[in-house]
Amino acid sequence: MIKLKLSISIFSCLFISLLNAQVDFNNYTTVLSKGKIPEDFTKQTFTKVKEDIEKGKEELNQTQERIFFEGINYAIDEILHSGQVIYGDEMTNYISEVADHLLRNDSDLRSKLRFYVIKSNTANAFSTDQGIVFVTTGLLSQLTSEAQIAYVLAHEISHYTEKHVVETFDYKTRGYRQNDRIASLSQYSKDKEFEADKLGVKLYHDAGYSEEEIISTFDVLMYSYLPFDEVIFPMSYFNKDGFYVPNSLFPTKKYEIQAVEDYDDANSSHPNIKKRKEAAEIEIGTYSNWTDATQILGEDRFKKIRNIARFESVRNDIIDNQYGNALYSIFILEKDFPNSMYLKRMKAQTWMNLMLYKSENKSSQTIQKTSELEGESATLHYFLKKLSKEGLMSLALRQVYDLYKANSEDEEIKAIYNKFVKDLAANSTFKLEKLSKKSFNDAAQDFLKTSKDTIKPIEKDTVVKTSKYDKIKSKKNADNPSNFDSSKFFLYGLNDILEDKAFADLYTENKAEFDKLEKEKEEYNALTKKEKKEYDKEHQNATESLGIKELIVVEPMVLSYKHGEVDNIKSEKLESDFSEAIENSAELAGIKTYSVDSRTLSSKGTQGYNERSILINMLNQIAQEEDINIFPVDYQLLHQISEDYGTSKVMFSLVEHEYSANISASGVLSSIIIYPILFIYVPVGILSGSNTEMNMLILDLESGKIENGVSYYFKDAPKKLQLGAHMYDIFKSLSKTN
Amino acid sequence: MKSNILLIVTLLITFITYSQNNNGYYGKRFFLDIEGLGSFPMFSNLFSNPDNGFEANGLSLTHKKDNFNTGFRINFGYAAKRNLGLSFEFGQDYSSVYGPDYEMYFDDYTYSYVNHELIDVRTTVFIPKFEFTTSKALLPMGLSHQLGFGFATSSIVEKDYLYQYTNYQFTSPIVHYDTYSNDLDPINFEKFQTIKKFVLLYALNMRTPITKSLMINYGIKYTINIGKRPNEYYYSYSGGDPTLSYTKSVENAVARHRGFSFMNAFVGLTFVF
Repeated sequence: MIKLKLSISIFSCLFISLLNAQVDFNNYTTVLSKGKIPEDFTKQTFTKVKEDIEKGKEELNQTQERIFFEGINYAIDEILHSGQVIYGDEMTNYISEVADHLLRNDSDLRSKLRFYVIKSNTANAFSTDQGIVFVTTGLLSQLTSEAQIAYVLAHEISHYTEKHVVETFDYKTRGYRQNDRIASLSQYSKDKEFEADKLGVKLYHDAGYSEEEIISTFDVLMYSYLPFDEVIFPMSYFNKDGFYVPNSLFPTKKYEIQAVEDYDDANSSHPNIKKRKEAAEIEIGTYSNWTDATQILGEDRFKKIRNIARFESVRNDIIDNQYGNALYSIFILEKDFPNSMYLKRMKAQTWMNLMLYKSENKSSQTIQKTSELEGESATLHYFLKKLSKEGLMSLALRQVYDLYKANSEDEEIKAIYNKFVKDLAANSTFKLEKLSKKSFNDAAQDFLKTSKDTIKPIEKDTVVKTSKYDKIKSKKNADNPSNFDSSKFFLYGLNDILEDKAFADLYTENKAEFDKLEKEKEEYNALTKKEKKEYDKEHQNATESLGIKELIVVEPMVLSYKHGEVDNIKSEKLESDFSEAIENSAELAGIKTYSVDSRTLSSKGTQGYNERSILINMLNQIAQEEDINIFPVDYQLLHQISEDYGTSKVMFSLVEHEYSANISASGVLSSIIIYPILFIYVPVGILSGSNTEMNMLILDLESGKIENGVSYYFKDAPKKLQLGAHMYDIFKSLSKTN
Repeated sequence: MKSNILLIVTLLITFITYSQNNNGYYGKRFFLDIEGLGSFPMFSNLFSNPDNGFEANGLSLTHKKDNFNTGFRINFGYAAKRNLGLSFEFGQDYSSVYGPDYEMYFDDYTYSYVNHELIDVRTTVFIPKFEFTTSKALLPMGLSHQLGFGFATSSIVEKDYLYQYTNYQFTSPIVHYDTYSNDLDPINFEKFQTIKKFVLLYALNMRTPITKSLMINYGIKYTINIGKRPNEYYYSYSGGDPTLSYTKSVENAVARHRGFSFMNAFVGLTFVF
């Protein structure tokens, strides 16, 4: 029996080790949840609230209990269903194992806690009253040892054991709106932070970790707003095969790191780092028998987890359109993982999206502000800021083209390349014919050679034979050695691309299509008002008739307001009604729907959860900038969803409702003066008080484009039949074919 | 997250131009409303003498106010657009008016007070109208405004009313119209002229679906009778028809009553097909 147990444990260890060793960073794909879906994700929020109220809480009276449980459960469930939380993956398992070690002598407490990872670049961790501890990938990417994770967890577990959430709930939550509540979940008072630091030290010490790592954890937190490493960005980074970027585009000074330990914490929920360090040092001094252990689960495993978090940080930055940060992270990671297809895909996406933002004059959103430049990453941000539109386009072309040439078999890179060329062809700033057929070096050498020859007298024949217009053209020709200008570096070094027939064909084809559209636009502008109206009508009929027969429907969202605050329970019930209405109406209109809904996760399990997360992330990414048709970061996963369901069309919908009688004191007073009006004013005010806004959006998973959108505003309650009727109308239109 | 998604979707939708075809309420665009109307004739009571309101109680007349008027409407319509519909309304209102209260002339020299049972009035309306919504509603569902211009006729119900004359010479017994010859009855039904008026209608109408082809319909209708509201009394002097004075006064009372009854609440069912 003992032998059997031993064999099982050896096998388990081996199996776990194999699983751990399975992360192939060269073929990395974003982390998805694994295993059985936890109840935290499947149980409806109002059921959670009901159960909690039944259990009760000694410290709270009945009203406080209702407010507390409703507030806390809805806030946490918003995070759980945000599409950013993962479970059962390598990072979550690792954190859970660190927690297992921390609480190895307190199995009762351990059994009450659940650990999840949030894909977010904000370095943060927080615990909830329900016993959930969240850790962000941003924090994991910054830490330097397992011991630091252990201390962060010990701190958060102490918040839980000391019931800090319920103790601080009253002044944190009341009067706050939903978003502020979520933001405040990791904020306690300074006293509570000191207490959690202190108790955390004890838990950490008992687990046998090194004292050194506690103080360094505070350093990690202080500098966590910076990228996960400080590596000098070389000015020669982009110089390659005849493509040269002048040093003048890079900063001449270093941007110092501004963070200080002793900052003014008067308006902060947390004490400043200096005070926390001092208090922690005192606490550390009260314990003896400290060990040197910084990695109990093993350094390799820690590094692997940190690398996963760092790989995820690139994706997070792309979703949040922080392309400067994404490129800097890629620059750091590609040193260790030069063959990572994931990094190459992310790099190609980043350059393409940067090009799109730059061409819309919106690139400042994607790069750090000058006032925020700090540390080594400032070099790259400064460079991207300084780069002209033409410069960025040429550089992006160089980067995307090279990535495509080296990885032309990769479907995703191919798709990025095709889209890039299409977008480039549609850009009026970028002119292929302006580019030189020479490399930068050749052009520079020719220029130097010509300069030496300037003493040579101009032949008379040349002056006479060349027309004024040829001379002007010659001045604009980048291949003319005398026109060479190093500040126009972007005109050179793309000669190999110009010579590539496949590129030229693709560009020309897209350019012709773009020109045709432009011509159509011009013709439209020349139409009379009446003609435009007719054209619009015809065109709109065509665009709304998508011939959709199958549709992926992401759970609808409903926000029902009461006195300006979201009535969460009513909203959740309305969501169920709306969901049913969508399903029924689609069936009536002849559209087959596939529901991706958090309410059906108990039956759909982790696959359903992952699909939902991917789709919501896509929406989040697209919504960063409505004018720009970016490339979806989870291209391959979205394709997989499209293939699995047999349709690439996905629908997001939401409803907002508030009842507020349109009756004012001044209105009543005026109506009394003009007496009979009162009999119209009051009933109209009462009957028209119900305001419902319904929005529906259809996205295409293949292209990432918004295919259609409808926004309705009506004065009626959002009941199942009412919503269903509107949805039927929408579905009927969508199912039509031209 | 919810709020974020809300912002996201609304933001994205803001930039999309989209016009909807009208596919109707679950594909149905015709509708038939059947409504019951009710109103409290407050203004009519206010501007009439309620002491002159009687109800028949066997062979006696007891005071009674005109407390509640009823009616029905049948409305057939078509939702031409999501927010515009056309319909035709037909219906009847049932109300009562007080008999002119204190005097009437039979000839040049005599007059009498008449205590008359409340006179039943039947008003028939024909109103073509259109309905519209101020938001992107889906007619016939939801809140809509209705505007109509039509025609209404009011006549009194010919029945065996109870009445009584009183003058300085005698007090008659309380009698039915059938008791004596028609000449002595206060109202000459043959000479009563139907009140015909153009009417303007505004209604605030809420149709709340209860199934995919049935809705509850409720709201308020406001009707304005076009034309001058007549004086309460009509005087007939020498040589005139002795019943004409009272009959004409009743006509005036009906017209006045119509003028004062401008608001009705209604509730009913809407069949959508």
